[in-house]
Amino acid sequence: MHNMVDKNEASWLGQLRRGVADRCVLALLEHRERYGFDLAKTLSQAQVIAGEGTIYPLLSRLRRDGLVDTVWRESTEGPPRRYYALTPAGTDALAQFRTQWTQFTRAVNELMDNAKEVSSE
Amino acid sequence: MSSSENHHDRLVEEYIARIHQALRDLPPERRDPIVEDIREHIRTSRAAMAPEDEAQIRQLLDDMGDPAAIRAEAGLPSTPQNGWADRLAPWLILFGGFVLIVGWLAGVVLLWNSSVWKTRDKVLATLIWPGGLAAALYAAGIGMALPGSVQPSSCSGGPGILTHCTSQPGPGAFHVIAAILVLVILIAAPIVVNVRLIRIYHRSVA
Repeated sequence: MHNMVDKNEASWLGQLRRGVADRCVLALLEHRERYGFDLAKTLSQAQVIAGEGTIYPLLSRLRRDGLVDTVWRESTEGPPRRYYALTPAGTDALAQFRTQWTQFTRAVNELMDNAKEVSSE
Repeated sequence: MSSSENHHDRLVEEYIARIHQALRDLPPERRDPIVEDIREHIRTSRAAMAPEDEAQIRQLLDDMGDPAAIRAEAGLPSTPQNGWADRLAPWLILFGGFVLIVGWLAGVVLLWNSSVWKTRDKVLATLIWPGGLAAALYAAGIGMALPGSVQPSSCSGGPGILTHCTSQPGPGAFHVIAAILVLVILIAAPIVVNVRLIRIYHRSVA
């Protein structure tokens, strides 16, 4: 029984992560272009992505959707590197997500607080 | 290059091969850049380790993530496709019985090796009917022969009392309807079950 709860927990969290990971990429690119490697490290440390490698199919999808673009930059060590940058469509998508996310988290927080009040009465 | 570095290269190549395999359902123009990015990521990580050891390499590959997770992120269904095997299995189960019994057996082996179908579907497809359509038609053939040859009679009453017997008047209308019904079920069941398998397969590759 306890196992089932654990499993459900892992599953909703996993789904939530998968749902927001690409929006987090857009947020990281808001102010500057970034190297895929750095995006992978940052999101993996924040536990938003399951493995560093999963960032690449995700970036590929964002690129196909026209939300990010790639640019080649010279590197001090080794060959030129592919950097990722936000497109105007990506900027719009990020702004839209910000609003929705704020509304969504506020609504969920209120529901959680509400449930707490009811149970303490 | 030292032999341990060779060994590390081999570990990396094995991992890359698994990624390649996990993404094999993607068109090359989408798959190749992803694989190339992952390769470069590993190269960048390794450049920062000097000297590197095997534990570090294994940790690095572990951090990269399960190929299945990378496959899922690429929007592919979680069950890797067996391609021709998954496509063929339902047809073999349906019609393979006509090729002695070997064709049907091969279908069952492919069915159970596949990850496309749930155990429930596999059990159903195996049990209805072992031998597929061939078995259904064979059973129907026997069934057709039976009503004419067996003419049961039913008696009521007990010893000493008046025994009332009615002789069955051959295959009556009821028997004909029942026989047709059985025939339809015998033939329809494997078709329905295998059409379902084919649908599930197509949904999994869509």
